[in-house]
Amino acid sequence: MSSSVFRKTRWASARSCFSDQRCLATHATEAKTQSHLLTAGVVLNRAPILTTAPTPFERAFYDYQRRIYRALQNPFPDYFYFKDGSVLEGRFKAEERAREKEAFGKGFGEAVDDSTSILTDDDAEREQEQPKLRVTKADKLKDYKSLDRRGPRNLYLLIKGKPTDKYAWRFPQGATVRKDELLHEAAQRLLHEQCGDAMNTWIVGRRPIGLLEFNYPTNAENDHVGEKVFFMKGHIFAGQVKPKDDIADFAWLTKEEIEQWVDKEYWNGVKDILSDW
Amino acid sequence: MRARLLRVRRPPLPGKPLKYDARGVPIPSTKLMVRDTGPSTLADHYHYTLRDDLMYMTYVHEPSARKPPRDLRPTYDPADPYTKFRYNPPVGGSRIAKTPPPPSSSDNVVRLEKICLHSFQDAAISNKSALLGPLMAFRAISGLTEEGGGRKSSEGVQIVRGRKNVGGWIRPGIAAGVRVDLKGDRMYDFLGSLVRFVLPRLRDFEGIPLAFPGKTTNIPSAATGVVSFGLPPEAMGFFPEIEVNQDAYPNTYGMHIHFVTNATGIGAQDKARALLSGYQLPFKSRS
Repeated sequence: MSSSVFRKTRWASARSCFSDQRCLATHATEAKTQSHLLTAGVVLNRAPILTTAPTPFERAFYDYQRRIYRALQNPFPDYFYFKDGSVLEGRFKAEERAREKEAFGKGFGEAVDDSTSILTDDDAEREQEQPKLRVTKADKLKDYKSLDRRGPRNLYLLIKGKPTDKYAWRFPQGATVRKDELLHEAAQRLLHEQCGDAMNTWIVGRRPIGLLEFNYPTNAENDHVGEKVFFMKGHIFAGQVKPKDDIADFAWLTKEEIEQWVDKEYWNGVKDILSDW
Repeated sequence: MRARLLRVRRPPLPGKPLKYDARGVPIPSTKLMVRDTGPSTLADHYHYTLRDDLMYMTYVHEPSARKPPRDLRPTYDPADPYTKFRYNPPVGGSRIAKTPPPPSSSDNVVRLEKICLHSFQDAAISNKSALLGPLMAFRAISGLTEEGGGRKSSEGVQIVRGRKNVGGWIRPGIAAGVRVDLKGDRMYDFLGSLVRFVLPRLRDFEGIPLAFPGKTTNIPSAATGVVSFGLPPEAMGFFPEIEVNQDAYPNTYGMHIHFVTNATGIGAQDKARALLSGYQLPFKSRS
């Protein structure tokens, strides 16, 4: 008997809650203890700009394969590709000799007197291009704000917010999703609001790549008990961050560096959405 | 000092004399096979950048397991002894355009499997030697030969022969074109030179044309992960392998290019297009 009465009253109160607006106001304290603010965040990525440097094993493997390839290949039909005694032919042969020497070592690819070519060895050596260094100035100076650093790796944008924020170093996050706004639009707006409009960026797709849930400090005055951040992935193509007033600092970091810079709790929430490479 | 290419030191002679195959080519004493000879820029680009993005873009969330497909017509029950051996005819018509894609996972992110080039030569039907030019050009572009590098799977440039008898045009067995399949590193090399050297220099090329808006998408090609387009004859001269000695070829030849991906099911062609645009291949909408 008593339980059925209880059920009835609970049902009645729930119905009145739906119908009566005042009910929401009276339950505000209860809402604070339960609901999280839904916000958008951006994991802004600078994709690798250099190929990965091969490991010693990979280098040895490629060298070996190139030697086999060179030893097995058909004779090159230079009569088909070059006019006899042309500059292009001389240059090609000089390069080919250098490759032969590199592949098979001393004794191979040595220059021999040839009266048909008009190109000398000195010409060929002078024209050889030197590749650019993989280590840049930003690498040496450890300039964490530079986008030229760590060419073969994925870099991610971290920003430092206000001192009152729960996490000092974090991804750009905290844009409340407005009514009639989609998640990727909120993410794009967030980038403009926090990191300036001097960047050419693109938000990948319309689906979030990760969810971070955290509670505000207990003494903070907020309507919500915490935040649920839906992270979108973004790419930067050009430009640089111009931090707005409430952003103290920014840095472009690899995954391992991010672990050193951010709070442990934050790291556990976001580490799986970052690329290992 | 004037120079000429010469391999001065002779390779060491093997202990036993080598055997020779039917073509008179020596068979090495060990089984040799050439694998990748260096890192590939575009393969790296796919592995470290594109794959993640494509997974996020093409992901479809399915919280629960899929329902089994609906039976389109009643079938005889094989458990029933009266109907056990009765033939269940398959549902008629092509089902390709109606197959659903496999559930999204990190294993079946769209990736490029091969690029197929082919060129049909009308003149070759009456004159076989008209195929020599495109054959040579395709060999130069692809760098592939039959069983090249000791790979049994490498078919090199193949002659395409007619299969049907079409009156006044083609007969079965008549050599009418050339084709080559590119895979692995060679595929990425070709894609790189296509995107960097050929397409930017082509006049009037605005991109691979998309289907007209309003055209039905419920067609078999939309459910196969293949994107195809054609290059005009003048594009052949822009490939660096041809450009160095274009006057050695009797003519320039157009070609069809098919990008074959692993995507299947409804929407597969869109996934393939998303992948190719990640390699900087432009698409043009027709409105």
